[in-house]
Formats: sequence, C-alpha cells, structure tokens
Amino acid sequence: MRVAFVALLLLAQADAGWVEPLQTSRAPGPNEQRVRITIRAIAASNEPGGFDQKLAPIEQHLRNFGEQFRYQSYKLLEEKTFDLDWKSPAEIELPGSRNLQVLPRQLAADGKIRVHLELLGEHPAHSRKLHTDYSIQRGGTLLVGGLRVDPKDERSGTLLIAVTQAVEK
Amino acid sequence: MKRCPDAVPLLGPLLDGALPPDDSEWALEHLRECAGCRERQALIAAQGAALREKMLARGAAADFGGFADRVLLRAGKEEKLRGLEHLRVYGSEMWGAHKRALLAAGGLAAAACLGLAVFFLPPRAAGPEELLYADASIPQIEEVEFGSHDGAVLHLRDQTPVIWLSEDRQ
Repeated sequence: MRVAFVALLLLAQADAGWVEPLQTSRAPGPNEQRVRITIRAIAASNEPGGFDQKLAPIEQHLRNFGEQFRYQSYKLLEEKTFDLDWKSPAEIELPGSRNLQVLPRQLAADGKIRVHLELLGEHPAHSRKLHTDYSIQRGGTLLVGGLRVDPKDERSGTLLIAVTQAVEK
Repeated sequence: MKRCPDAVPLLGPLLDGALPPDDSEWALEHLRECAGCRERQALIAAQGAALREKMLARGAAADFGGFADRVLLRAGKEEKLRGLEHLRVYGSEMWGAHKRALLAAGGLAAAACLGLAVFFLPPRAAGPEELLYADASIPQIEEVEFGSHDGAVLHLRDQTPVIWLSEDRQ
C-alpha cells in the first residue's frame, strides 16, 4: 500500500510539473537545492507535565497554541528531520501506525515554500485522513492536530504534529 | 321637536344665505316650530342691520381726500434701516419667497463638497492589522481536504496555521 502511495506522490509530482510554469514562482537557485523539513509528533494532554525540553525549538508556537487549546503538557513522541530535494517526498511513521508524508513542491516568488502534506490512517487501510497544500515562510511551522495519540485509547492524549521547514543554502 | 342648541349656530348663516339646502330646510322647519329661535333669529337680524347701518355711516363720514399723499408722507418719515439690518430684511424676504429653491441648492452644494473631499483627500494609511494581512510572511493553506474527518483551519496569534481534525465520523 505504501509503495502505491509513493507512486501516487510521484505521479502528483509529475503532474505539478505541468502546472508550475504557469504559476508565479521561481525555480530554486543553485544554492537552494534542498529543503529541510522537521516533523515532530507530540502528545498534548491535560495531565500536568509542562513542556518537553526537546520541544524547545518550537516552544513559542506551542505556547501560542496553548493559549487557544489549553493543554497542560506537551511531550515529544517522534522527531525526524529530512533534507529533501524539491519535489521529493518524505514519510514518517506516527503513533497508531499512521503515516505523514510531505512533499516540498517549489519555492514561490515571495520566498515561501509550497508544501504538499498527507496524513494517512492506521493499518491496514491507510485511509487518507487529510491532505493539504500550503505555503509557508522559511522557518515557519504548520501544526496538525486533533486525533488521538492512540486511536483506541481516549486517555492517550491528542496527537499534535509540527512540520517545520527551511531552505538550505 | 328639534333641539335648539343644534339650531342656534345655523341662524346667522341662514340669514346670510350661506347654509347648504339640507341644513337650511332643517333650520327653517325648526324655526316654524320654535318661537324662541324665531326671536333669536330676529335679534341676530336686527344686530346685523344695526352694524351695517353704523359702518355705512362711518364710511360716509370718512375723508379719503389726499389719502395717497398721506401714506407717502408717512413712509418718508420712517427711519432708514441701519447697518446690516437691510440684509436681514432682504434675506428674510428671499428665504420666504424661494425657500425650496434655496434648500435644493444647499443640498447640492453639500453633496458636491463631500464628493470633492473624497476625491482629493489622500488615501488613509493602512493600519497595523491591514499591514499584517498584506505581509507575505503569513502562511497560507491553499487547499485542504479532511477525508473521513471533520476539520477546521485556524491561525494562532503568531500566524502559525493549525489544521485541526476530529476523530472519524461514525
């Protein structure tokens, strides 16, 4: 199934090649060949515990998040950093046998990074739970949350995924 | 018997021939039956005759010789308007004579002034919030599909985008 999805991503990548010349974007320069994407899977819960020290790079984002969502603690479950070529997909396994896949599409004319993101559900169906295209500035973070850390355990906390991207010079 | 209080106000106009036919007929019928009202009508008629006679006598005694000269002499003795008083009189007369036209002209002038102000005033500088929305650094969710979930997209205070999913619809 995963192989099929990667094939789909490659197909989407090829499709994007038809569309991109029409859009206001510029091709990555010779010194901007790779995108660094860091994906963090976080368990947010109402149990006391505060911030996991490993979440320091995105602590400010989580504090702003906490202003609206009122979670008491944030614990890092998984972290992975990818140095990707443009239009090269990356994948990370999340708790509950779910997958997150990201594909940096292009560097837009305004300096933003355009990213395609897909969240797939548990084995064996791997149903698509979310897919999105977004543009974000270098160093920006996208948060995806709301699912349970353990789909079968209501008390396992809420899964929060932080996707931070930067362009390597 | 018709009521006297209703008939008395009609007695004078009846004498003047100023009543409509129905009222006149009604009043005459009442007078035929009511001696009191006949006396009242006679009194009214006598008073009218006496007044007419008096007025005619006064008119006959009045001297209108040189009337126009006396009016002009009196007008010449009136004090001239001082200062801006003549403007007040002029304005009052003009306002009375052309009130509608002046109001319409005033409204058109006010609308024209407003239009000129809108046209010539420089555009207002964008406030901080507007600048924020125009900031290219704000992330944008260009497309999102939630599959079998309900979901929402929101932005935190620092413009960090958050995609929030609910658990599966059952």
